[in-house]
Amino acid sequence: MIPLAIRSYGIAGIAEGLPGYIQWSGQPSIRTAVGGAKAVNEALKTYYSPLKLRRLDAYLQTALLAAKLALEAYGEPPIDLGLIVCTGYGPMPATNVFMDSFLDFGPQGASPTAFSQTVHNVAASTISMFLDFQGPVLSVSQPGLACSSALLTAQSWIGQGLVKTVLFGAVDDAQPFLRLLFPQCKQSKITYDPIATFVVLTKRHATQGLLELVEVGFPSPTSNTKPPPTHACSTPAWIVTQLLSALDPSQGGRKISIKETWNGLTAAICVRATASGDRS
Amino acid sequence: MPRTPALATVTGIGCVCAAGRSLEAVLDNLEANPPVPEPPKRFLEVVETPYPVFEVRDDLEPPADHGLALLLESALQAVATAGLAPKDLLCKCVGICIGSSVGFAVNYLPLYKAWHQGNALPKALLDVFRHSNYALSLKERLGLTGPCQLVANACASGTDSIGIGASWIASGMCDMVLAGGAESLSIVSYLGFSRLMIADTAPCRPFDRTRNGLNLGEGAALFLLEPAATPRPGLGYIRGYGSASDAFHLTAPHPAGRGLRRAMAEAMRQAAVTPREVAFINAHGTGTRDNDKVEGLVIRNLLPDIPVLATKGATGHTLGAAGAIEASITLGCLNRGTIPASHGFCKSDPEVGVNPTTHPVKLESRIALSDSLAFGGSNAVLVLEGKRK
Repeated sequence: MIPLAIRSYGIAGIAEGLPGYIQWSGQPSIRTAVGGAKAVNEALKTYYSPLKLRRLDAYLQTALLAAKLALEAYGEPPIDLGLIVCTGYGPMPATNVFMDSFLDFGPQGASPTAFSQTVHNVAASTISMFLDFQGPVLSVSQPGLACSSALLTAQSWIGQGLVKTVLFGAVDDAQPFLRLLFPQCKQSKITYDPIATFVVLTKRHATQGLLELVEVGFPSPTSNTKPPPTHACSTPAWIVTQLLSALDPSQGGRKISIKETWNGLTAAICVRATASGDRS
Repeated sequence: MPRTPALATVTGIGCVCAAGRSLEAVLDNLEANPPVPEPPKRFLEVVETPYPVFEVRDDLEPPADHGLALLLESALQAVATAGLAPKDLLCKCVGICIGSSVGFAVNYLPLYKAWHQGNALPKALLDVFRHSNYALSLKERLGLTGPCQLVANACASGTDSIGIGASWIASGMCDMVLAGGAESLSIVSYLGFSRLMIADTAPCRPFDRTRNGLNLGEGAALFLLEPAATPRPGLGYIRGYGSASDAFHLTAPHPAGRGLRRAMAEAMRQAAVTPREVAFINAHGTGTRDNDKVEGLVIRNLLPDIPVLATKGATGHTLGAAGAIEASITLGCLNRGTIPASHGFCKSDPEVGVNPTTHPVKLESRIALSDSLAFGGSNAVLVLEGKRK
């Protein structure tokens, strides 16, 4: 498999509650816009007019901002770009708006505008429209194992020469309803508003990059070990951000493996910090 | 142009839709006995205007896991047509790549309705909802351990999932991949498309001058993909895959079809195929004014005089499953050496500029394209090769 490097990060939303925030915030290759939906909107207004943003809800604004920040932190115009967006639950706020319109006003009152924003590739579409990406765009929607498989897809895109760079990210919005669905999900305590994390992935050359993607592993077909069936969240935005723990010595540092799980299914993403001049 | 190695060999195919419960049945019915859409039986009491649909099951209340059942049925068919049993997959790294337009929202409405009305969430509904993701659930049901991905590129999902599954094989990431799409008819999409005023109250007429919208359908189709060099007998090949975004509008295609052009060019470049070598294109052909106009423009520019097949007049628009069902039909037609008439097409539209088949056409090569356009500006194209001698 072709080795990949994570070159930069963009994080938008309630980032201060994320693991290792103190360790990684402020690094030049990591740009964050910390805060809730209001803060995200204010940050985005430095790039786009309010008129242009008026149709985007907080979920879409957060995704767009994180994507924009990741590209800014990358520092150069990306060449030959593909876009991959993972989401556990998709555009849940817009979906709920559409459901409300139907439940409150009947079939004839169901909102067509809300329906068009319930489509699960709406975040990727918004990013591609605002940033004018015309290359391959993939949306992945699953509450577990989304990132590991999507990283393999990014790897195959770059390996096969389809693109040279992949803007890879995740967005989710843990509203109160989601907490009812997954009461045991600890991470939901910190995400009242959407959170989005994006990275720029390229083929790895020498010491370039923030993190090196060492391996994406799935259990061997002959393995007998199976984790217990739980629905603990490993939502994509959480997983992508957790990879930054490799920069945090208190979390293990250097080389870490982040596990994605879903009801007894597992995968692991292993990354290593690429500190310039201090590579092991 | 020298032929490049295929991305993957298709060793098994499963296909379930309103036109039939297997690929052979679908092909037979497209040729001789195409189904017609009817008002939806399962939520007729909710809707005022009965937009006709293509239902696989006509019972009033199909089980909550209806979509997953369609997917599982097509997965077992794919494995069986490859000459394997599900247990044969357990010792291999088998990936799952499933396209669906709904992602997490399968079975979401009943749960949300209970919450909306201030009721406690019934545990049974919660359990159904938590196990509704098609890709994860298929992986669980089959006990597989490889990569697992639910592609949610709206109506291009089925085409994209096969292209991505093939790229996993070509990259050596998996021994096998079950790739395709699944969709069950839901009140959410039914209301959404009718409220967007792009559903037809009559049987749909792809590319026809009088076309006035789509008919929704449901179904699933899966390919079992293996490496190009597999010694096992194959039913065909995935030769190329292209994907590109319009970057234009959430629900309207780019007027010049720029994403579709790019995806088609990329798929043909990857396959090292020229337009002269293409036997036909299985078009997306939804029957909506905008889609067919833009798709027609791109096809007549890039593939002039190539026969066009449009199958949604006999299957309905199965959204995230559509690309997979159409790829299955494409490969099936290549192996039969003929394509059927395109149901619903009658009157040529100069604005579209392409005329789908009105009678069976004998094929002159083993290579065909299948394309999809989607909300959000996603476009995907597959180049497929049959095994007919």
